Amino acid sequence: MTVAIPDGQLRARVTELRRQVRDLVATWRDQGRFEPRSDAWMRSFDLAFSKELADRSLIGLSWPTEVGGGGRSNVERLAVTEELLRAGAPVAAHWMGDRQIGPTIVRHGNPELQAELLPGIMAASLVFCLGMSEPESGSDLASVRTRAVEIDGGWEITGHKIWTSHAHRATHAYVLARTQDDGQKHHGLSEFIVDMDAPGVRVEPIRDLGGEHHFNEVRFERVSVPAHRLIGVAGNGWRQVTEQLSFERGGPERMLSTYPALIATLRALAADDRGLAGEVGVLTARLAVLRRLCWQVAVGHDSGQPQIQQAAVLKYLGNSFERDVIELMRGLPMVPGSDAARVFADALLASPGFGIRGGAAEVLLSMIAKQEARR
Amino acid sequence: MSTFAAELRDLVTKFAGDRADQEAGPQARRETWAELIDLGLRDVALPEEHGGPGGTLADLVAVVATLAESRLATPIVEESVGRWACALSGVELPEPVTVGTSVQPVGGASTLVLPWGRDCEAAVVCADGEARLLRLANIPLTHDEDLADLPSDVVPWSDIDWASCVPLQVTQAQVRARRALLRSAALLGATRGAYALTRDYVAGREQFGAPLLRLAPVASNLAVMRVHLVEAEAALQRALDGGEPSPGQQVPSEILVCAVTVAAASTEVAAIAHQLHGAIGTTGEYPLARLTRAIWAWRDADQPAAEYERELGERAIAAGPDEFWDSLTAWDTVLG
Repeated sequence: MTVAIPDGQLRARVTELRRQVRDLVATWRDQGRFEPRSDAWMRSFDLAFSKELADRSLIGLSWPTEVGGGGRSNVERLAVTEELLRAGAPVAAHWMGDRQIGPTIVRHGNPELQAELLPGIMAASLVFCLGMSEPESGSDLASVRTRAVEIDGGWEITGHKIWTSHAHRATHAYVLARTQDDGQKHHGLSEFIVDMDAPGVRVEPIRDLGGEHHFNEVRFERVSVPAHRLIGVAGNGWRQVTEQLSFERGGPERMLSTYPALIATLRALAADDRGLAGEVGVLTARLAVLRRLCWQVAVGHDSGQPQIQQAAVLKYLGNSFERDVIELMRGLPMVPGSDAARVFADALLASPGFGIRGGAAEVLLSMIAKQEARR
Repeated sequence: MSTFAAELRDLVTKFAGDRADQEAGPQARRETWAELIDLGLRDVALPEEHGGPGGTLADLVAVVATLAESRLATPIVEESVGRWACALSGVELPEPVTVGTSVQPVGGASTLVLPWGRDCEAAVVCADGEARLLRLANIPLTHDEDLADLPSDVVPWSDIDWASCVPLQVTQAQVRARRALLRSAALLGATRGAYALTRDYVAGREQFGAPLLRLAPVASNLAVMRVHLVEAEAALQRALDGGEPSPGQQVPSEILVCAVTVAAASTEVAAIAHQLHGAIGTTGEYPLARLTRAIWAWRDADQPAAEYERELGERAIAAGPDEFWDSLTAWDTVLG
């Protein structure tokens, strides 16, 4: 949706949103209610914090006012999300709902589904997990084997999802399933919202290499799903989910996952730069440009001109940037148990995930290569 | 890109034609530059009372980048900065003018490097925060060439009478900033050219019965070139959004970011371009070397890019977390 807002007004609104988020974050920091985390949008879950954002109408900020959203631009949403991520704030509880599930329901959900779920997402009273990947379907998402069979009054879903973050705390799951098989794998997929407390849903934890639990396996054993919980048109799921994934690609998650480590490093170097000013300059430049790409993607959303290549470039470069932040911090002597050591370990142990989720680097390059071959 | 910038880009491209492949030697270069001056292209963005066609810094950037992409070697960066500095100072514009660079080599004497110096009437020279105009009439220059084999002349600082140089009304930082921005535009142009040449090459050249582009590592490497080009474009546009640098003692951060980024991106693109071209790319005749030698010359021409990196890093370390973040996010200009 294109909204013509004069530039001066937009800047004023962006400044106000930043102030709101900074005030909230500062209050919570001062009260010791959270520690800045790397990858906070995935790892740092605090429903109370999400509710604070909800109280300030900062969830669903860019959704149309017709569905109760804030009607603001993506540029304004970016200002909020990047302030939250640079602070390493605990945003995981509402992140998926706000970033992609809500927008998918806004675009493709029927009115009953919108009325049922959107208010709860905006109030941070509902928590969503993503049932996309399966043991046999990672990069090749269209090959998912979870099946949805039409029954009286709705659908029955059977399948096995994996890498489902926060399924153990979620009220609802988004599920990608096959409803039809005509031999062409990009036809016949559909999207559903499933109650996590429905009979037949079973969650098993996966501990990651840092001992943290956010990933899960989720099994669906003939789970009944009412008809209105189908998102959009049955069989049109592939087109819908690729659009949803594009919301993921161009966001500040792609470059701010290790920002707490960068700030900790700058703080340490203020006393003695250890000859590292040049390397800090290189990282600063890379971050500035990544952020610019991120901003271009948001502007593109607002003007109806999707910046697909910029989003892929942001994701590709963002991964190596985030890792290089870790490499810079590695050069500092650190005492086990110190704040710096904790921040460093937090970033390092999260790092294997950066290049994998939302499309592996190889897949991104091959996407860009195909575009270029068509020029 | 403004309409005017798009027109300028087309004009330069048409003018260039296949001129770069035919041009040989300093005389041909001078003739080409004289024609470009006649077309008004040297004076885009110069205050209009000096007879130029008008236009913004962004329009001039389009000219500089397209000339570089078209493989035409011209003194446009030095001339446009030198003429701008004199125009703002109410000093009569020298014909021609260049901008000098001070080099303090390790274990050597401080030296003034003057690109195209041998042809010039005067040079804008900076020291201690100031910019002054040095008349070159009686200064003996040693003639040399830069990495792109273009005129680069030197004179020891001890041979310069700084006190007799004419003070200008722009600061050293302003000169550095404008020149860095335009140098980045030239670098970006050369990078665009190297990318396009490589893309065409791997799409056309066949081995193992198919275009090279069908091989996964080739396609992947071309994609990496494209990634760096997109990165460099974003950096330059961000710097342009910062507007004309105001008088002051600091080069704006967005220009430092641009210089660092475009230097690094062009380096990657040059390396991959040679890799994908194989042996033909290493010849003097094939056009790739014009572009890559320009990249290698320009990325460190005004100062080693590493010095921009250090300057940017020192600011980041000195800044508090909010100030650091604000300088990253300052340029939120929405188009239209």
